[in-house]
Amino acid sequence: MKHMWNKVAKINLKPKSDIHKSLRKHGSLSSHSVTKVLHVATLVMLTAFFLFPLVLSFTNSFMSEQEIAVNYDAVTDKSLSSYNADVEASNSFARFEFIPEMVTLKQYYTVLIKKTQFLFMFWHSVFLTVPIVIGQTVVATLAAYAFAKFRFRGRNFLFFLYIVVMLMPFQVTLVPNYLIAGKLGLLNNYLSIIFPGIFGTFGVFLLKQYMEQIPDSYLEAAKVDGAGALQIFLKIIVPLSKSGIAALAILVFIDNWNMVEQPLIFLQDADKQPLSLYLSRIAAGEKGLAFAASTLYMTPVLLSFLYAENYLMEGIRLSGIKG
Amino acid sequence: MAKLKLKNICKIYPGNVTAVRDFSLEIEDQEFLILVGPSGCGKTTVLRMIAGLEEITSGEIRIGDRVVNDVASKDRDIAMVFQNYALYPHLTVYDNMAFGLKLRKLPKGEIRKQVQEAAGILGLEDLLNRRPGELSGGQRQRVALGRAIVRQPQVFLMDEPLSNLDAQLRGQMRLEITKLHKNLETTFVYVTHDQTEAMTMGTRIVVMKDGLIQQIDQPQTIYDHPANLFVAGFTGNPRMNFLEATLLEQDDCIWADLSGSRLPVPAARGQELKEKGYLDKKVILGIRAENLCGEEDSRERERYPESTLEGILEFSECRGPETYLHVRIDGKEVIVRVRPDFQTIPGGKVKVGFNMSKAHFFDQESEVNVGSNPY
Repeated sequence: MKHMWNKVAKINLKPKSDIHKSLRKHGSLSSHSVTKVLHVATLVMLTAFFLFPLVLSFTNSFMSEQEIAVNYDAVTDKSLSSYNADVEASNSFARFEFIPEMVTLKQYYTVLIKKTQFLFMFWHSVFLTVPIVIGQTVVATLAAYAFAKFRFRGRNFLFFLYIVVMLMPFQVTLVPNYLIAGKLGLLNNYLSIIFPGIFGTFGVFLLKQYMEQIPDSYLEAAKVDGAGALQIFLKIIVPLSKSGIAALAILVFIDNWNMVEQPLIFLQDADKQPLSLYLSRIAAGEKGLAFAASTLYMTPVLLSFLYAENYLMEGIRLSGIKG
Repeated sequence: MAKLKLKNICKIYPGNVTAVRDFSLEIEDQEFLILVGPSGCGKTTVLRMIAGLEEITSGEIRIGDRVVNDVASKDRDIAMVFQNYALYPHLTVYDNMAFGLKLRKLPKGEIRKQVQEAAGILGLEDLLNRRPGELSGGQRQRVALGRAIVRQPQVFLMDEPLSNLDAQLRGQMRLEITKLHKNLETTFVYVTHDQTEAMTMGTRIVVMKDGLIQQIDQPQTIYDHPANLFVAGFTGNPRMNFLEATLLEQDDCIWADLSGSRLPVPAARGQELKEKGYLDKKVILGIRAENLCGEEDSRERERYPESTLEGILEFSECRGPETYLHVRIDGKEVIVRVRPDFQTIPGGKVKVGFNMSKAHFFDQESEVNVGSNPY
């Protein structure tokens, strides 16, 4: 009998501890799942929030002017709308419609073929942005290499000046830049925007941080192998900084593609102005046109981001710079 | 292949930090010289100065007949293997090995031939298309060696090349580098803090401390005849036992008095120490664990019956082929090597026999080994 009780006790003991274990396990598992769900939900909401204007522009660019007027005239200049009365009667809020009642490419036809101004301004943007991207990438890569891997007198002070200039608001350097451009006779010339763009300080800062992560032993090994400073730069530093350089190129491209103040100030001639100023010139009555132009305007930026997303992430991560 | 000559080399970093002081050394052609010492002793600085990666503050470096003080690294005809291998991560094994040859603008066919030859020596033929990130530690090490040998330099410089490998692989690579040295018949200068590497690989060892050379000699000579207390303590595992002693003369015999217990000093050495004026003076007695024996090693102990002291066993360390006893004698701990089957009881009494013919005597102030050759 006693022997039997022992058996029972033994049998009971084991499952008891197992239950405790499983309870603990399930307890932590459920809290873990709740955290995960909250994480995902937050991310979905944020994504939706940021995607909303992009998707809205894209889908609405295929709507007719009439449909757009119905959707948005309640919150814009009603005097321009022929549907004014109806809209006012129905509601006083904008209606965010994502699916066009009838798909039309008329806005794109107008922007790209009928009115040539868009294409001209697009090319102006390209003429401004591409040299700045190439120039700043080359200059910043070389300067960052010097700051990160060479020891020379005044290096830290010079870099400190770079940081000071970088931290200054754009408006502070605008006036000196304007005066210098005036002295050089570059006003109303793309070079007045391209030169300050090429010698931007942010790229040097970003790439210096990135290049400092490259172990000096690679450079020393290359030196012993017979490489000079330029060969080390081209064969070791540049390939190993690929992500950082790509990240810089994209950031510079986005920044300069969207510039507004510089062309407004430096380019008095309206015929020379870039695409970033086109949207502000579209009449309030041409909302469909604005949607199509916006979609076309953001396409190069989006494509470049999607193409080099991994480089961008890695570049920013390894340079230790937070966005 | 070349002779390497360093004459009164000094390296002082900004802030007046002296890394290397008055370093003079001649490295013979085809020699395998080891620079050994604790961290911060200046051994890597010496290697980097030979490589041209560090400027020398004063002195002269000659490779062959040429003074290379102001010659760039690339023109010194040296190759270097770095501690972290420094393999270019974006290049394949082939391109890593061919890097230096391409810079010298050798014909493609010649580059291919030399890389494949080096890959054959090191067993890298199947790895030539891989990138360093896809290789194991040992393979990376081989590639680093390959990158060095492919250039057929006059001098190979190696900066702790095995320190990132596990113990087993380190043993294997030690052997491979030694074989490589024999096959290539070139001068090797090798930096390590691992005395096993120093003892097993080098034809000569330079022991360094605080930027100064402590001793230059063949490995066995360094082990048997350490020039000073530092070298004696640095070489050997476990380290040499050091006991403070006063030399006394009694009954026509010189004794080492260990504040209570006494050990007889062999007659010839006792006489020598007496002549040098160490009688009634304090010295440091150094004796290695293998020159001590435990109670049960009776055969050994019988050889020096007068040199037996009693101590308390603190603990024993079994290392497979031998066991080390940590015994406290007169308040000092000594390590004794015994057979692995030696019966030990921690806390129990152990009689330790001292083979005084193998003992070293160091001056207490200058720490110099004052006895003549004990072997």
